[in-house]
Amino acid sequence: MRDAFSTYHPTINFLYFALVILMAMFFMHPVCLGISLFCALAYSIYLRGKKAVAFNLKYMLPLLILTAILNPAFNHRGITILTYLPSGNPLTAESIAYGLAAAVMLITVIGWFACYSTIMTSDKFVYLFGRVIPALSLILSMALRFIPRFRAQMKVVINAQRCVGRDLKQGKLLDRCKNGLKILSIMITWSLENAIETADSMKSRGYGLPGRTAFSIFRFDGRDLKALLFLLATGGYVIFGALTGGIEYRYFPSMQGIGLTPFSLSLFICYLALCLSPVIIDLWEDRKWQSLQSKI
Amino acid sequence: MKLTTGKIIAIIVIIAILIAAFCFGGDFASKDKEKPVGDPQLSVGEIVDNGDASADAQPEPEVDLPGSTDTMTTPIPPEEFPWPEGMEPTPGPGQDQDFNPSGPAEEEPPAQEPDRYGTEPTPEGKPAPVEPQDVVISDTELTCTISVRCDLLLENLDKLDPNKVELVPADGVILAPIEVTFYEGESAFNVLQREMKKNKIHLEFVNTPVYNSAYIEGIANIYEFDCGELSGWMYKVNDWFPNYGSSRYQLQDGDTIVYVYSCDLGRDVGAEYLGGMQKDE
Repeated sequence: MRDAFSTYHPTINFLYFALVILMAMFFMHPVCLGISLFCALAYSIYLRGKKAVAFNLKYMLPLLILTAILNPAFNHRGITILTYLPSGNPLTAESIAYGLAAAVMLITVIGWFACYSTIMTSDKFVYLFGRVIPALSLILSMALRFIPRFRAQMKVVINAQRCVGRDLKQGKLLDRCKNGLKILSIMITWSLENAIETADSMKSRGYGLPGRTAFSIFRFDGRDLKALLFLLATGGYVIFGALTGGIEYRYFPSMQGIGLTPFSLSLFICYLALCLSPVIIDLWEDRKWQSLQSKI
Repeated sequence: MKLTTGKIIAIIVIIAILIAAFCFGGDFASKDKEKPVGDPQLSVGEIVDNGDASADAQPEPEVDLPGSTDTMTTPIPPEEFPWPEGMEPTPGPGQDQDFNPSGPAEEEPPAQEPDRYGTEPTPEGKPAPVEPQDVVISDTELTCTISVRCDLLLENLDKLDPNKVELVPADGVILAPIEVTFYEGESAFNVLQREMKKNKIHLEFVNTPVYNSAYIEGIANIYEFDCGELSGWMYKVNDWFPNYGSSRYQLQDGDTIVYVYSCDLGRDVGAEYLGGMQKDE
């Protein structure tokens, strides 16, 4: 999948994800939750295709159900009493609704982070923050890369050990445990050494010193400016609306909130436009590409 | 790591945020407001007494406000800030209190030992707690009167959580006094729970093994702490606020149970011992 949004300037990428993730965490209005969930799922599926669908069905759906069920078990607030739990406390419609809302919020944020890790690669992150907070941004990018690298290296080590006869899948249980521990010890040594080597290597290349350029060169052009203005306009309007109570919603003691007034409707539309902007950009670029091709 | 200007600014910003959080959140704000709102005469006087009493009783009165409380007291003269005293585990003489925000609190003569749930002996003529697990409920039908009120919220509407204002009845009566039947051996809490269910009124409680009693968190969606940090449900039987949980109060025929919402740890509803009140149950 060709993703045009990832070719934008890292500032735009980062601003977009910062806005969208923060808003997903703070807006509890059901319509906002729905918009955010829809956009996060749509974008993650657009970016990662079948893998994202499988991930969502396998992990996100059970997580959603679990979180939604857990809330009413511990939260008994709300005026609509449906029935009484065995503990003697009431089961209320509000606590179920809130559990559902919290669950949706959780999987939405996870979905956004999945998109984030695809778009905001570590070189972009280091490009953005390498000068302001060099140490922290290096640590962050190393930490984010740790698990995938660890897994890749583990495969290599397991194969190498198999070649010298220390297979994980053969022999007595005790021997297999021994082999497994050996591999674990190798991996831990490797990861510690690797981290030190990375840090040394970065230092010897002058990382964090003034005047050092980044590995990737990004240019802030007219396209980025347009996107920046769009993000600032929609994001600013939605934040303004949220601060003035335009998308207020409360779950306890009774569910109540802003209905569909013209103001709230405009906020919802802006929020949707903001969340969908990368998908819109991608689709628009696809069309442009096709029309250019057809002209040839 | 060099200490650059940026880092110094960051440190200053963090400290400023912490100070702001301290001033505008939590204790500070509500305590400040309380001074004009409450009846300072009564409570201040009593607290001073109390403070003196326990200061006398304690060998090292200085030590009783460690770290955190010390900072909390800075803006408030010590005599208006009784809490640290209450948190002291050692009971003072006479009118001392042992307030614990999450459960029953107790007081009373220091000579006698508290029972295994930490309840001090009850005053003379008042029923002692009965452990619910030891009770055999018989078939004998007796009657008692129960009511649930939150009148004090009407006076403290400004402090009440704005989301909860609509829940407060105009007359402050959630359940008007009603004569109900109970079975011999039942506790005040059993009756409350049954009546709440019968009248379709919301009730949330949690069983607290430490005090061997149910703790009432909220009735009719009005919860503890909804009206300031000192608020919560309390109960009285025949106009006495027991110093133990309502699951341990065994009812007698003709008892009058009232569950009241206090905005000031029971002082405003007339709990006898200052602070030695019973956070409901």
